[in-house]
Order: sequence, then C-alpha cells, then structure tokens
Amino acid sequence: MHYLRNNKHYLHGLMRRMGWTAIPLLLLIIWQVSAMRLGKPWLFPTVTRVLVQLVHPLRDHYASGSLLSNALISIFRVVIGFVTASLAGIILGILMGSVRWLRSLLEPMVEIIRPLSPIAWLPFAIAVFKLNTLSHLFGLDYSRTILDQVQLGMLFVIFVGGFFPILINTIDGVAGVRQNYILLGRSLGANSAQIFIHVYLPAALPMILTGLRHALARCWMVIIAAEMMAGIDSGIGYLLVYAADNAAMDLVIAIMVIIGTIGAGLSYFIRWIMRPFIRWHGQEV
Amino acid sequence: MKMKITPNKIVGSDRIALSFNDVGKGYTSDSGTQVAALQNINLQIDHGQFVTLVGATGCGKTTLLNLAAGIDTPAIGAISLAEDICPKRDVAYVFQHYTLLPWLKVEHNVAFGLKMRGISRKQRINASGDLLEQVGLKGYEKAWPHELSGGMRQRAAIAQALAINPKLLLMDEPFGALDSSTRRDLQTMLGNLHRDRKMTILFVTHSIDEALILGDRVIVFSEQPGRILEDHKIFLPRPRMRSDDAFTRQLLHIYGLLAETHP
Ligand SMILES: Nc1ncnc2c1ncn2[C@@H]1O[C@H](COP(=O)(O)OP(=O)(O)OP(=O)(O)O)[C@@H](O)[C@H]1O
Ligand SMILES: [Mg+2]
Repeated sequence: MHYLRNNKHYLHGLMRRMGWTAIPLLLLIIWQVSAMRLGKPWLFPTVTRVLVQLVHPLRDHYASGSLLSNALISIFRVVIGFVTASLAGIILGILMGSVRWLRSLLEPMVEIIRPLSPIAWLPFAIAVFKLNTLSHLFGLDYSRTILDQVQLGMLFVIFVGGFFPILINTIDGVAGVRQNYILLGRSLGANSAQIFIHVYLPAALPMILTGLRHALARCWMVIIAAEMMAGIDSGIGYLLVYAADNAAMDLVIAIMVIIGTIGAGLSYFIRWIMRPFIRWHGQEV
Repeated sequence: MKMKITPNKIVGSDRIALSFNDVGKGYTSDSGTQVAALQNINLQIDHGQFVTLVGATGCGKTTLLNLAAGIDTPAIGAISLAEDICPKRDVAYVFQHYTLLPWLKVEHNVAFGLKMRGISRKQRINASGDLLEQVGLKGYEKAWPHELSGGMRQRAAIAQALAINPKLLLMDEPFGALDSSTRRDLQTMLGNLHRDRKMTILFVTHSIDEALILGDRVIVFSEQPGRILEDHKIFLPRPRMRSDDAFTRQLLHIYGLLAETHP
C-alpha cells in the first residue's frame, strides 16, 4: 500500500519535471528540424530565427517602433482601461450587491449588455470617438507623449472587456458577505459608508480579486484584437498584423510569444499584489 | 438590514437601563410556517446589573438579544433603553458565531470600534494593546483571528466589544464552545471586568452553572415560544462558590424548572 502511494508520488513528480523540460524541448527540436527541412522561412521560420527577433527587442520594424515600444504601448492602454474598469466595476458592484433595489433596477440591463463581445463595440467606439486620444482629453492634439497612443475608442472596448467580469464578481462577493460581519460592524458603531468600506469591501475582496484576474486576462485579449483594426498604427497587435502582411513570420511568432508571456505575467502580477490582502480567505472562524 | 433605534425612552426611572414591555416576536420561515419566538416578555434590567438568560435551544434567547441591540424589531410591545444609553454608541454585542472580522489582525479587530469613531491610529492601537493585556492576550496583537484558539478568540471578541466602552453589553453564549477549564478562566475574567467597569450585561448561556456563577439574576425561559418562567434573583456573595449549599440548591431548582418544560 505504502509502496504503491510512494511510487505514484514519484511518478507524478517525474511527469511534472518532464512537463516543464523534456516536452517543450522536444517540441522545439521537432519545430527546428522540420522548419530547416521545409526551408520556407517566410512561411515557417526556424526557432533560431524567432529567437534572434526576441533577443533584439529594441530593433525598429517598418518605422513603426520596436517590439518593446509597441508592447509597452499595449500594456499602457490595457492598464488605463483596466484601472478605470476596476474602479467603476468595484464601486457599482458593491452598491448593487448591498442595495437590493439598485440591483433589481440595473441587473436586467447588465445581463443584456454583458454577453456582447467587447470587440463588437469597437467599430461603434471608433465612430464615436474618432481617433481621439487621451491627449485630446487634455485639450491637446499632440502631447508628444505616450498619451498620443491611447485612443479613446480603444480604451472604451478595454473598459467594456474588464468592467463586466469585475462587476459580476463584486456583486456576487458582496451579496455573499456573512450578515454577521455586517451586524458586527454596525454594533461597533460603523455607519453605512463605513460598512461599505470597512466590511463589504474587505469581505468581498477574494471574489473581487477573481473578477480582476479574469478581467485583466480579457483586457489583454481585447487589446490585441482591437489593435488589429484599421486605423490603428501602434501596439503589439498592430505590429503582429503588419509583420504578417510582410511575410515576416519569424517576427509574427516572436510577437505571439511576447503576447503570451505578458498575459501570463499580468495574471501573476495581480495575484502577487493582492495575495497579502486575502490571506485570511477560507479561514473564517 | 438597517439598525433600528427604539424611539421609546424610559422616563421617570433612572434605575432601569433596559426594559421589555409585553414584547412578542415571531418569524415566518422561508417555507411559510409561522414560528413564535418570544411571547409576553416583560423584563426590567437595572443599570450595572449582570443578567443571565437560560433556556432550551430555540426558545428565543438570541432573538431577545437582537431586539435589545436594535438589530431586530418586536412584532408587538416595546423595548426601551435608558436616556443615557445611546443605542448606536453605548451598546456592544458579542455574537454567538463569527465574533471577529477575519480580515483584520487581532489588534485591528479590537481597535475597529474606535476607528469608526475617528480616533487616531496611534491612540486606538494603544487602547487596543491595553485591552488585549486586560483580557490576557498580550503578545497576540499581530496575530490573525484564525491563528487563535477558541478561548483566545472569545477573549479578543470581549476586548473588541469593551473597546467602545459600552454601557450595555450583550453576549450570546460567548463561552459555549470552550472546554470547562478555559470556560472558568473566562468566567472569572468577565466577572472581574463587570465588577470594575459597572456596565449592564445581558448574557445568554446554556449552562445553568455559568448563569449562577456570573449573574445577579437568572432569567429562565420556557421552551418555544419563549416566555419567562422565572426571574431568579441571586443573593449569594461574590466570588460565587460552587461548593456552597445555597448554590447547589439554586442550581437544582433551575434544573427542575427547565426539566418540567421537557415533558
Ligand atoms: N431569521 C429567522 N427566520 C425564521 N425563524 C427564525 C429566525 N431567527 C430565529 N428563528 C426561529 O425563532 C426561534 C428562536 O430562535 P433563537 O435563535 O432566538 O433561539 P435561541 O434561544 O437563541 O437558540 P440557541 O440556544 O440554539 O441559540 C427558533 O425557533 C428559530 O427557528
Ligand atoms: Mg442563540
């Protein structure tokens, strides 16, 4: 019995190490060999050609900036859209989760709009906001800063992409707060605003965090698609289609790697930031 | 749920802290059945009195505390607080379950009430440290609630309630889940706190022994619907001795009362 279980553990450990090393390595080798045999780098480049792109993140492509500068522009757009979506989603979510009539009033509308893909909003958003940027908000045509690269239409779709997961999770989190904690807060003299900030918010934080993680992942997907739209001339998604149009498949794959890595990094980052705040979760006594 | 403030104020008597006049309360459960939780409750509690409530499970003890706290409102009758007890500021409640906020460290749990009053951070952390020392939790300021044992958690909950310096303290089976020696330690501690602070305490328990050790009065409830079977005054000197004949007699007397309601 003992022997069996140990054996299983050993097997699992081995598989995990292989999953991180042998399998990726094997795939890379198959890729490299078949790409070399095929000999059509414009269609299927070798691993080494992709790596060359990745180790030159500052090289300018088609006078449209480098991998790094375009990635930063995309991240900047997502961060701004995500932060506004978070603020709006959390505040409205706490209100809707704690005030029953407000939830009844707004929930039907939320449920109607929510299933619509954020990308479907983009043509509408671009028509409304033209190609106005954040700089225009400050009354400038060009500020010669990164703000020139943040189109309001794009912010709008990122906002839509992030807002609903955050809203829904916050509502559920708040509606599920133990009545006891609210009563405890009240009995210790908290008024409604204080209950909002000091009880509902922290108690719902684990659920809110789940919403934030989903939302950030969605925002990152939305931005790539949004940057592929006509009229946009910067961002990692833009560079991706531009490279494909120029048959620079090594650059295309390098960009795909970057997009995946940034997505994973963002998800890890937000978990890391929030972890100290929800360490108590699951330990209610 | 809004905290309702009972408008009735006691006029004419400066002795009475809290009074229930012909109070009745019922619930309709989700399945639609009517439950009468409390019936015909008449109870006057003096300032500084330690009143214990005993009765079978489901007889409405928690309901009575909720009414006193203003968390719930009576279906009939009236509950009044003395003029000098502000229902928002001077009433603290140690609940039966989930007595601490799990996302705050112990010292911030204790300081929570002071924070709500806008007391500066330094002052409230100091006050919280003092209180934790009083309840025997020195050194646990930075611990999380889930890191405490059951007895320590109840000590922290008491410190949290005391922090707002309540004139009326409501406690719902605070020592219910503790082993008997921890329980006795906490009983002694609470008795001393009551002696030193002169607050009015309404204390629910399942243990008749505990009720007699702590209370100036034991209110014995009938089974559901809860009515007052007996308002039993205890004239034994403190600290109460369990070996005392009078103590044992009263214990058996209340046992008898409760047994009668269990046919
Ligand atoms: N919110 C509620 N909805 C429906 N019924 C309720 C509600 N709260 C209490 N009751 C009912 O009222 C009665 C009294 O409940 P209460 O919690 O006051 O009893 P208790 O004396 O505190 O019991 P215990 O000693 O087990 O804590 C019970 O029959 C209970 O089922
Ligand atoms: Mg109860």
